Amino acid sequence: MREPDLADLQRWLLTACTGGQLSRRPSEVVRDSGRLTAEDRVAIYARGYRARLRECLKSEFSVLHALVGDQVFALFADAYIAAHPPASYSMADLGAAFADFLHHTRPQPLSPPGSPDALPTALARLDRARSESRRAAGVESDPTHRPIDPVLLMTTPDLPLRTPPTLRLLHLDFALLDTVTAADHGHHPPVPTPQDTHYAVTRTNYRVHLHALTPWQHTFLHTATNTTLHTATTTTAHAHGLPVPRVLAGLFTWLPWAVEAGMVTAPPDRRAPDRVVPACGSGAASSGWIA
Amino acid sequence: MSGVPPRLGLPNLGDGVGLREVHFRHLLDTPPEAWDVDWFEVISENFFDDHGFAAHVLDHVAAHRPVVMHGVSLSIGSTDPLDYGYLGKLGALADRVRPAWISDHLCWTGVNGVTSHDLLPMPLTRRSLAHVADRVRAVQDHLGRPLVLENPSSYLEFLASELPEWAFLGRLAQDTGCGLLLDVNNVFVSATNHGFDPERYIRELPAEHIVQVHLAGPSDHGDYLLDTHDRPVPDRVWPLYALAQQRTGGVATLLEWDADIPPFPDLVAELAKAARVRAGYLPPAGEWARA
Repeated sequence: MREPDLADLQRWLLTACTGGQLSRRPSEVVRDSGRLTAEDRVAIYARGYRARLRECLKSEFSVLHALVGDQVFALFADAYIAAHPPASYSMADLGAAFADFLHHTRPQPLSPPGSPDALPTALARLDRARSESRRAAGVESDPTHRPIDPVLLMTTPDLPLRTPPTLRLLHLDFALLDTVTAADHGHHPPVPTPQDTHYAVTRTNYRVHLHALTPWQHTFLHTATNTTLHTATTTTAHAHGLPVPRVLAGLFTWLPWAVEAGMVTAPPDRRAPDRVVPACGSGAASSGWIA
Repeated sequence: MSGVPPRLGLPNLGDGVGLREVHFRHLLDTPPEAWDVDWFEVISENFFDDHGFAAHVLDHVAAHRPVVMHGVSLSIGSTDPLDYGYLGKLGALADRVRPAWISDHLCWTGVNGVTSHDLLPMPLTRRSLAHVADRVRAVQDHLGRPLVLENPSSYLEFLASELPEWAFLGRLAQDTGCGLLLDVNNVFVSATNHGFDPERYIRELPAEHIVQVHLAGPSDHGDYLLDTHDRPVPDRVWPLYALAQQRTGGVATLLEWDADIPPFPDLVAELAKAARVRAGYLPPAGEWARA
């Protein structure tokens, strides 16, 4: 018998695993075992392929899975895997396009924001954001990530800001905090209510957290990537039609907490030591905030 | 005499376990001197591009115990070109954790850019042997160290196969200088599924190329065994382990457990059976665990 080409055999078995149309019957390629036919033996690999990828998605998209249950999740997962067979050596990449897939396969024309058929997409975006945050480089190993003195905000408009790679910002159509909390505790989660929501996924001490944000905080964090406090503040103020002092007043209480929560870092490279804790009242007039 | 030193000159690391997420907290909270294991094996791909808690734990573990990197996605048998992006990540991880050696499997995981995330069997022909040998040499040149390859569990045999797996692996090792990771559970699984003599498999391998042994527990599906790593090592595997240790003069032992993973102390208790077997005790059928 002529030896089959190795590449042909590999394409054949991978096609069998992924459920494609086979060019040859299993009995023409694979030996019977006595107890199992060639078809049975190939089917072990095909079942393993689906089960492994399903499990991987189930583990990554745990909130979505907790809400919709095994059966519906398997339908989502199998359809996604068929449309996006894995191409990366890393299982962490498998779910990268899952949320977009769920979005693009919604019934057309799309229902209004907050419709039930949009919920799986929203949950998948949230699950993926948490998964990415878990693996990204975080503030735990960043020596420049330190608490920030609120007074500094009043005196240092050129304070440099950056957001850590663990930050993920989401603008969704559902209120998800209760659902996430229940799923994380192994309880059956409540169905989220429709609501225009802004969230930050953050990580501190290697724990991933979900925080609700106001719209201006969301914009501020979007803007705070490698910029200055002044730029991020004025951009936020303009985007929301707010006076700069009002945003600044909000930052005075919120930004130190946001730094602690791992949402943003104010690296000290441009903060001279004598400016880290400035004298009270040295502030806004000389720093350019009023201009 | 082959002139090859035992274990290719690599150390006998003693008895180890796989580093798994469910044990991270235990390993951080327990002093290393109380871990009761000599070394750890990590799944290489799980740590590529991971800067989170897993990476933090790996750094801690690697600071206190030898680590071996065990991959599942090298796809050494594939007809796709070698993935030098993957090899770059493998090398970068090796630079970080300084593994005692780097291992993967005699298998292919995908072709035409699609991966199954499974250890798919090779047709055991002379041509595929030459193909794999060329790639092993290329990988060894790239990494600057011998590659160690494991015999996978398999559920089918190709009609085209000309060689028994032990002959394929033995010739591969002798032709390329690569090491062998002898998984005695996989020998048991494949021997059951294909009807060959597991002791002959172990006796026919070039002992001096064996640098490590794997132990694990498969599940019985009636007509075949499945390599699930979700239970204790079956009693019928221990004589194969004893034979492997006797033939090699002593090599590093690693217990794999990947599903329904017990608490760390229970895992260590299972591992401790290996020392009893090396001391001469073999459990009667059914005493420790059935297949």
